[in-house]
Amino acid sequence: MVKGLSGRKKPAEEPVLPKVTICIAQDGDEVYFRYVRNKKIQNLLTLYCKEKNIDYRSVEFLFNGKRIATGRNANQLGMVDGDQIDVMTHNIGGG
Amino acid sequence: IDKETSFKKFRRWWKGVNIFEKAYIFLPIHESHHWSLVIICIPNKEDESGPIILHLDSLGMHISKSIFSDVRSFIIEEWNFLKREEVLPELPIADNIWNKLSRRIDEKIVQVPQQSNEYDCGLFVLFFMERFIDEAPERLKKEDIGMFGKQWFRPQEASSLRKKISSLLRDEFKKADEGICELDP
Repeated sequence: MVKGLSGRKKPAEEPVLPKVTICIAQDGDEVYFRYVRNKKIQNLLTLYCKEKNIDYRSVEFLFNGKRIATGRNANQLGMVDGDQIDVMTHNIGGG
Repeated sequence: IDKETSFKKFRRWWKGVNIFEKAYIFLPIHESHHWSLVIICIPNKEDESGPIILHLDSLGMHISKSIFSDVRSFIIEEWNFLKREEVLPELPIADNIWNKLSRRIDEKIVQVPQQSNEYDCGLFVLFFMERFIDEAPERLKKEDIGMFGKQWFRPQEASSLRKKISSLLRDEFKKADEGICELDP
């Protein structure tokens, strides 16, 4: 447990909500998932990488063009059915 | 996926933002292991000028012509979308320009300081943005393009960003280690 967090009050219990359909898209390839709304999104993303056989650290996940805070869940990220997560590979430029 | 659907999906990246109301839009460009920068400038409505696309490249390596053509088609695609959807209560650009926007987009390769090594392109892109934000007028006029040039800044100034960013990161990591780091709400 991180020290700074221990003093905090436990947040109010969130209602258990049904699943949400999320599309994960990479270079035109789309995969649909039904995923629990209040489980952190990172688990889904790691699962995706495992299935696609890609290194989790080699890619970036974007929702509406912005980097996803992977510790959050679909509710916190404001995701609704049909929302899409874009998978982008890092562009390394030495120039 | 057809072109229209993919553009609609792409539009989520600037959800709720009317790009034509902005004065400037930065587009970092990545190709062939190199980064350069495009700045889309939307002039004042009263200036009766269309958007101006600037390309800044610290190596002069990217092919500006093909970048201009991509950015131009992006602007036109968005313009078509907004026109079709009739979502604009008020035009951000003078009527006569807006109606034939596709023919009123200017493009300019601007001369900028050059990197003297083969690894500082990303820093130059960041430094271009920093300097531009500091110095650019509220809205660009064509005559303002003179602000750039090979002597805009010393190349070492851009290169020294590496140190600055590195110490910034060190501070942030240190803070995170100490548990001070707060996630944004």
